[in-house]
Amino acid sequence: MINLRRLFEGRSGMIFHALSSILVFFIWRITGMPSPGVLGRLIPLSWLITASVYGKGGIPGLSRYLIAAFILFSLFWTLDPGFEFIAAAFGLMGIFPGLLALSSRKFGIQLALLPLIPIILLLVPFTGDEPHFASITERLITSGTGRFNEFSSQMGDPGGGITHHQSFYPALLIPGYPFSVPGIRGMNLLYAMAALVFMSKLFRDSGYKNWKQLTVFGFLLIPGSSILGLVYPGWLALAVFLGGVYSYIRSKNTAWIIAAAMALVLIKFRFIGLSIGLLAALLIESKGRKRVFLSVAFVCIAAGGLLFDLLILNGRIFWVRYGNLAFIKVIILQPLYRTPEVLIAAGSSLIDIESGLLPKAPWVLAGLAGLHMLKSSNRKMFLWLGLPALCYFLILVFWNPNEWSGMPTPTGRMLLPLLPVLLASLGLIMKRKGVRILVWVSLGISALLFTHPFLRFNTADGSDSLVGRVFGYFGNLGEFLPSAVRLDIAVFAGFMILAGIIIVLFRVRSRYTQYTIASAFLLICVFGGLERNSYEAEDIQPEYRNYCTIYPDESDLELRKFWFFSREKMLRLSQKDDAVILPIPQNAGDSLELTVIYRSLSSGAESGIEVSSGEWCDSVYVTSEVMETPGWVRIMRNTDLPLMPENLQNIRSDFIIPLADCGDSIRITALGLDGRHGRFQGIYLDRILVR
Amino acid sequence: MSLQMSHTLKTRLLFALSASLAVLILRGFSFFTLAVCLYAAGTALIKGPLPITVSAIILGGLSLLIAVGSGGPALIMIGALLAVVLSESPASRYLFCICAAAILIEGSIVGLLPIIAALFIASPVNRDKWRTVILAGGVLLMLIITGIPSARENRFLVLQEALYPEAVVWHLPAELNLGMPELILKAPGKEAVSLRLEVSAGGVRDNDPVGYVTSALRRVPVYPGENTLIIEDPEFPVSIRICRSWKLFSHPVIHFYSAEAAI
Repeated sequence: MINLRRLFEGRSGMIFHALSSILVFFIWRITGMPSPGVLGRLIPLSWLITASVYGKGGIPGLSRYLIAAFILFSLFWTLDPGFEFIAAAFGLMGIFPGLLALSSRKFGIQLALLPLIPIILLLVPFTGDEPHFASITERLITSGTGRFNEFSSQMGDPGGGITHHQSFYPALLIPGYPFSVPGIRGMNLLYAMAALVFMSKLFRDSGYKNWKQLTVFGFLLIPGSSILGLVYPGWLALAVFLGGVYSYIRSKNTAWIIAAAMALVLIKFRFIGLSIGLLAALLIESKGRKRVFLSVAFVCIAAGGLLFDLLILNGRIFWVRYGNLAFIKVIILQPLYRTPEVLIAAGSSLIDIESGLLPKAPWVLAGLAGLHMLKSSNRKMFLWLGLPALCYFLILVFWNPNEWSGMPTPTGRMLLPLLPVLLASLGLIMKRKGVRILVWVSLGISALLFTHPFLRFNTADGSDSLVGRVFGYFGNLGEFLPSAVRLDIAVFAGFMILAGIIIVLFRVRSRYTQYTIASAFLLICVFGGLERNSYEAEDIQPEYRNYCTIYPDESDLELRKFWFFSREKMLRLSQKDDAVILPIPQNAGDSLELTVIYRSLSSGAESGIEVSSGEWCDSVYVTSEVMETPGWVRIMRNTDLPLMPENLQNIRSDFIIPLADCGDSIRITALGLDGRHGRFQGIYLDRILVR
Repeated sequence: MSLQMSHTLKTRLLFALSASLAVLILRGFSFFTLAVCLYAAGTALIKGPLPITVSAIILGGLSLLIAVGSGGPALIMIGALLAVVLSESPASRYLFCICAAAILIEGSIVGLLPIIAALFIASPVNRDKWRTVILAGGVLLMLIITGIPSARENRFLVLQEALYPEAVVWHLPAELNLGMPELILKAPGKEAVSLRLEVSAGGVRDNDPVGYVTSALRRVPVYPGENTLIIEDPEFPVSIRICRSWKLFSHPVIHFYSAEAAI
């Protein structure tokens, strides 16, 4: 008995986590929550692993609240489809305070990652670019007849046996290949671990007192958590980048930076931004003759690299993809003709509901607010982490403003190189009012994406999978969320201004920061919960539509990237049975104003739409005209746009429905569709407004 | 210090008042909006660590976002329960209690009575440990008497149909559980010759049907395991519904894979 007491003395935290593991396991079964065999076991397992590595230490205060929240949401889970997601997220989030406490021990950062490994390896679907990287790894060591063989090519591949991806990163996954998906994911966990080790050492050497906690935040928070352990090159690039910086700062040996810059380009060409930033930082740090020598050396290295690629590698890294006239034209035309798109891409990286950092990681606000402190208090960190991140970001959004986010792969993965500098500034501003709240809200969202990884995947259609699943598609919330695809300039600009205001308030230590954040949140909630009076047609739920199809269908995820105008999906009415049937709003007066925004594609018979309700009926026959080819496309290639729905002008039709004659719903159908005039003939609904 | 506190309290109360007015003006009076107003006042009076107030604000805000069904009232209940356990201010606890009572009267959630009774008993108690014990007792009592709370209104999912020349097809998978117990298949304007459904069921500890497929007056049971069901001359809408209610260690589920109606 005495021995037992001695054994457990000072280990209340360990006992708490072990008991919580049992509690979560049984609560899951008592309340009958879904997925008892997978999530209902993996989450208690995470608690159990936390308990086993926790060692001595007290109970983290916040964990108790989080467990209480888990129990309450579990009890009420049947009352809303989103509650089972939230309950599971709280179930996992309960270990986060323990992981942060654990980080201060010896090997604490590595131990803190352990409880998440089963969830990462087993829950995240093997999709996106993961199978493509795996298939390249496979082809490097087998004849290409293995388990990933079917993913041999991808849209965007230059062709001729050359894939869209480079071979250096897949080659580094070879040691994990014999163990299948967990093996190659395990390799990525090792690279993430390496990046975290370098990051922690940089923070420690820069005098951060909370360097271990900051590093743990690095993999718990988005963008760090979004591809943690997944087969994407982001964490490897971060390891090379941070490893180069750390080694250079310690040894002052320029070779480390040059080697890191070259390796980054070999991993993935888009990391050239980091390379440029590293070399620029090196030049800024150097003085006198060394600076001149380095400048000449960089030019020689770049020229040598390009020659090596051309003569030895047959242009597989640069020339095949980018060494052509069309690409050079795009680069030149981008700032002249596509300035709005580039600016929106830059803004959407911050606030876009699907791909932006702030909706999934509001801690970034604090990170941005702390940058000025980082600049003044630790110029070296600001230069070495900030300049490469800035160069990377600018090249990313400038290069391809439509596709910078890499959707439908996990949200935030493209912005991973920004993580170290944002964390470095977060570490300086952590004690200011309101910052911890943002961090914990971000951790909550991160936990939601750990437990339900499919919520990480968006398809660049303007609707966010997380918001849709948790709050339902049919609320009014979508109207007030910023989206680059469903662009509403007022909403977009409003959120940019709001983000700017909060950053400034954090910066000046205003006591109104928390009230501003709370007010903005409540305003969105109050207006987002009001009765819906506008519908994005493609989001209309099945109960409000008869048949109809979405254009383009699910197999066309890549297709919309190459549309010149709006990239929104549309709801297609192409047969006589297709109809949209909307409810009459509860607060309607004597009459109802209905506005339908659509495109009408017909090459033969006249087509149009009919709106009816009860006895009342009205119709309009109209055909859309094809848009003019954008100027920048005309410079590239003088061509007219084909007669396709995405190239048509929108039509706006207004109807006044007298409520005295109408029924309990409004029916919208297509007219004049004989099915004999091409496979794309039809009405393509974009938006419906009811007032 | 006390001046600082009173300033904070004033700001908080002003904040709560503005939020309540906004909700009342934009959504009108109902027992739910009354509960929201009481909740806002209770939140303004919370005494305790900041995360409690923040959690209460987040839950209250989110309750407004879920515009329909029982999700909004449920969030208010969860917030009230958390705050009654954690708030050190009796006034705030009483307000949360009354707010929970308003949710009971609002009536979209069934089975709340035991836990609301426990809330009323726990509110005057000053020691948080005892409040936790009383509320845990209330939860236990609720599980014994009424089971976990459930929604009063019938919740269902309508699956999108696709029309082909000779068939109406439902090719998107769906999962039915106690939170979403019913699936509706519709084929507007079409008369089908036969309907073929691919479903599987599970999560129970016996071999009785987990649910039923209903078409007009016909009912076809869905047993645990894989099921291929064929219904001749079906009448739409066809419903697939879980027939089990909540029970300890039971997770009834029906996985719908696909269906095809020949026309």
